[in-house]
Amino acid sequence: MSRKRNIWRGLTTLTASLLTVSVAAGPVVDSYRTDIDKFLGTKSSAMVTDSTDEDLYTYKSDYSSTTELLDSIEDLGERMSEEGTVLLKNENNALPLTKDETQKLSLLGFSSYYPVQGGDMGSSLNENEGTDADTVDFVEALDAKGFKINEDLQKLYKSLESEFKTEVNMWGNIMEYYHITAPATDGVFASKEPSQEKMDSVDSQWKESMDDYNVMLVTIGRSSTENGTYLPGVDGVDASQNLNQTDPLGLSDDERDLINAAVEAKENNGGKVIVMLNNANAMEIDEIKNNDGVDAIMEVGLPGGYGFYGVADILSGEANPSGHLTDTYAVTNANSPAAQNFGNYEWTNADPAVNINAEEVEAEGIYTGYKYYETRYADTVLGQGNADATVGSSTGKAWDYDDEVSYPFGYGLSYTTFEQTLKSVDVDLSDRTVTAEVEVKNTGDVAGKDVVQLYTSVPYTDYDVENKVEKSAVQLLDYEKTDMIEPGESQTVTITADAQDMASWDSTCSNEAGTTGNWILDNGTYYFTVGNGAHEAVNNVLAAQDQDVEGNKDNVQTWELGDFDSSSFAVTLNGTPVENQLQDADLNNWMEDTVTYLSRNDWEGTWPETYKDLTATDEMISTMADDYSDIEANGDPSSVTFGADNGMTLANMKGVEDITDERWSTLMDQLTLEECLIRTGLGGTSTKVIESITSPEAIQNDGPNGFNSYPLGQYANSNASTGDPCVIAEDDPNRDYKMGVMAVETVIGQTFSKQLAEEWGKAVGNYSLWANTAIWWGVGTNLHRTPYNARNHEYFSEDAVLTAGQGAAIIKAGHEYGVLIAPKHLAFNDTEINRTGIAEFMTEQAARENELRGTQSCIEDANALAVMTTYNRVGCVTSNAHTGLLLNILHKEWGFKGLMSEDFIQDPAYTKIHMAVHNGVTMTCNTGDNTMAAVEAVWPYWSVENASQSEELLTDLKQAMLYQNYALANSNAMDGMSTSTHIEKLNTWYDNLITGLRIGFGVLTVLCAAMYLLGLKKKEQ
Amino acid sequence: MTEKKKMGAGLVLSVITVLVTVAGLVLYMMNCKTNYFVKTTGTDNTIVACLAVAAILEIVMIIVSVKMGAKPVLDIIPVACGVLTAYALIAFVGSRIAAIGSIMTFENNAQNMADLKGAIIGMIVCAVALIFTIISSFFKVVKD
Repeated sequence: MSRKRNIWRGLTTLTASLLTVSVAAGPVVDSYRTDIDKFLGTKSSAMVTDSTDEDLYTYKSDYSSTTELLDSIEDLGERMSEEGTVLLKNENNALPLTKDETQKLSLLGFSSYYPVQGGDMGSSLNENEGTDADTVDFVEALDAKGFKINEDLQKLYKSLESEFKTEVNMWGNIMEYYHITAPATDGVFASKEPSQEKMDSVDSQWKESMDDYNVMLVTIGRSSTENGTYLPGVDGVDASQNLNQTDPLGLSDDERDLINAAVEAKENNGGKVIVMLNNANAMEIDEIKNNDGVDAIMEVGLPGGYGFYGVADILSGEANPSGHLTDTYAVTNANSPAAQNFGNYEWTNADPAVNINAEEVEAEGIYTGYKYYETRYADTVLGQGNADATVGSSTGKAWDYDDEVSYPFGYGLSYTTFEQTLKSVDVDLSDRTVTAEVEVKNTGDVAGKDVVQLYTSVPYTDYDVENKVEKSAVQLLDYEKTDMIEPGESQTVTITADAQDMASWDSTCSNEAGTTGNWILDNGTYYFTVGNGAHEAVNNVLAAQDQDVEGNKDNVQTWELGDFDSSSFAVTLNGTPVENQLQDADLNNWMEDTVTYLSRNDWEGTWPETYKDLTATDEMISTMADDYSDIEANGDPSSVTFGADNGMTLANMKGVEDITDERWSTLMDQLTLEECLIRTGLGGTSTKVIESITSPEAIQNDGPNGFNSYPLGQYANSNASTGDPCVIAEDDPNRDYKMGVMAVETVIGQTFSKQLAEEWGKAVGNYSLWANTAIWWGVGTNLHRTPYNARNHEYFSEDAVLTAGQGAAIIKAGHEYGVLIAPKHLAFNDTEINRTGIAEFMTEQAARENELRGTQSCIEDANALAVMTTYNRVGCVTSNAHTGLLLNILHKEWGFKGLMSEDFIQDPAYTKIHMAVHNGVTMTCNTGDNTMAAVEAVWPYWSVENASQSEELLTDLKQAMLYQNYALANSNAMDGMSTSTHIEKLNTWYDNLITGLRIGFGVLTVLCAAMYLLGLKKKEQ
Repeated sequence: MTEKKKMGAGLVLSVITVLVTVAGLVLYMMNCKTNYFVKTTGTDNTIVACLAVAAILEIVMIIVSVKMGAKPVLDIIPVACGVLTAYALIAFVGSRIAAIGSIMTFENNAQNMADLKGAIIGMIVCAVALIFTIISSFFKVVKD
């Protein structure tokens, strides 16, 4: 009897425990429903629409099938690299190859066979097989284009495959990479190029094999990754390798020896040596440039899944290169002023509990990239500002441009030659434009495209010195790419630039708001010129100033401004007066006289020191630790309406672009306060359904190389009866296609082509329609502050104007297809080191003229309806909580109206939700089920009771929801929806399973308990 | 010798269950204090209470059983312990899922990985505690 009692007790425990598991799993499943559905390919809800004759699909694809869609992406990928590959050196017309030479290719360097085609994380290449647009690597592309490669070398490198492998352990899931990888944020770079000895040991005849394949192409690769970094100088290199490598972005002896081996072989076989750079972070290549044995250098970036087709076309001459560098290629990257403060600088009083970890002082001010190199060069020519001092010199001698820069920003060669003539420049401040006409003539023998780069040089005056306003000696004002120009033909290119890009931010200048901080134009002479890069441009300007340099003064136009101007840009396009908003980003605001910012008035005296081992003051600690959890009673909360029964749905507002339309207010009144609190608090990887207004779930996607989060068919409509013109059948071979295939943003930038950027926006828009994914975090508008940020591949350039031009073109084009394309990350995500918590310090002038200028046009001109904020702090305040940045600049000055998500922040306190909502953040990344209990479990203060006492918060909540739903209403997320649309919850198989388990275990528990009790009763009897 | 004879296999299993449950509780609390989780999830008092009560109930069952014999009323305790431990386990896992996704990707660094490793060990120990709770419930703490 006792034995039975034990068994029934045990079985009752077992079944009751399993019943508990099945019951408790419910809320967990609800919390991650979007991601579970993504993983399992299930759907938990459906928007059901009554049949109607009305066309509910506002946005139309340009394609009638997935095959057409994928073909267009593949074609664009090829052309992106044709125009985004930069030819840096081409001695003796080594390129293009003759037909015969294409049959004699020796590929050297393991990156030829294992190239870097995307980032290791973020913009990773999606390799597609079995689709209508399978991705290819370099060898496959060459093969497809009819090249013939040295198979002995191919075998050699393939036999060494295991030596190239890098394993990344993702908790049992071992990720294997065979291309070179970038270091983690706490790692160093290790070269994997095989040594000559290693190659000899595998095949002692490998050099001889190149006699018959004497076109020797050496690929040097450097990878990029999110959440990774290169560190400047030897600190960033694995010293144990002992490869004489002085910088992770410089060459190792094994790479050096390989190039030299090719050069030596050339002496015997009479061939040619081409070096192909497979990188997104500007490398140190001066020794390759100066190696007379190297005939050609081309920079192909990380070209994605189809870009190597374009590279092959460049090699064969099928395409004529027209790419230009988006970054300065310096001799020694670590010698730039920005690099003096790039690293891991932890506070001495760091407090991990509140994400107080590190700081980074951008003491270089505005002088990043070419703005430093070309300005310092100009000042050495002009003999001012101690520019020829030794600080920052690579030689230890007086600073000399030729010793510091290998290839300047904007530089690139073609197989033909062009002559550009700046015909006219018209400055119209009332219209805020600078209009230039440039005649471009093809003076060579083959057809090609050219890039017109319009530069300006603005006055640097005593006023600037006195008020600490810095001026770059030359800056890109705008750019355009020509059409294909036949030899001997000309094209006149008209550029209409934004005149505000000439203006400088003066934090001391009075303004229309009655405070300080304003855009100014100094009185004096403004120079305009064109050139193949910033260096040629500055030389033209210097020549026009009668300096003895190799410049073309005839290609310079001037404009005189008689009086100091602080009014032309004192209000923004939407009429908002500008004023200082980012003074708290200056460390001197917190710790007086700590930072000396670099000034061209005295390069030597203001050269940046490294700001490390800093101790945050109590005030700074208090600011950084503040979670803004206090919700104070204010105003008249009862004046804010919730839960009204106005009979509207979001579909009533489909395509209503006027956000002041009173119907928006009527619709928003239907929201319940609980919905507002839940939806601002718990988001995750999508917007969620809002039942009171029938707002749909919109899926978020990363990242800049295409929709790479989900396969094409994941959320696609397969029901042809819906009237959806973009239905994908269940048996469509392209359903599993993933779009993370485009060249990285650096290559898109190198095209200097707004047309190609626009085509990319269209491709994204079309894909969005077919994939039914409306949100794309796909335009990285952070700048390449230094070459060392391993995430530079997700950003276009070191220059803001190029960034803005390419980013705005993509966003604007995407609008036509209803896709919400977001610039990210706002702002100053300048390093991946300690990114959750790092305090970025800078001057407001640097902030506004560099990185913010890269985003501003995306909002003002392209009308972006989505933005992502950053992990980092702006000064001591997290970006979410920074009212100056998000509310006053983004929303008020620039007029942003749309959904805004934080980056993938998992720390609720760091989200600063109270301030985030105040500043217009509409989505956060914490997850939880659709209840107030779930929200309050994360933020106990984010409650109905607390919110109900603050009119300000209630208003902010509704405003955030308005912004988000305004964006959705003007996107393809509304396609297929009408006012009859309602939400139906669907039971997935796993919902049914859980329900079944609950019932089953419930019954069994009762049964076992009953049997137990029955046994006891029998025993008693 | 007489006392020893009265002890059942369940006693040993129950003692192990107590130890493992306490270990799970300690590991959970320690994990909640790590850099990553102290900020992201904090401490869920419900989990602490469930594991603590489960451990206390097991101890009570052992003591009362040894002193008073295997009273039927005590049989509710393993059932309650199973329910409490099962709930704690699921809540523990649920609170770490987002972190697993984030740390394995966006926030992958040595410190966070160490914190995540601690979480996974804690979850495994809690799962083991549940298994022991269930197994021990099939055995008598003391023989009749």
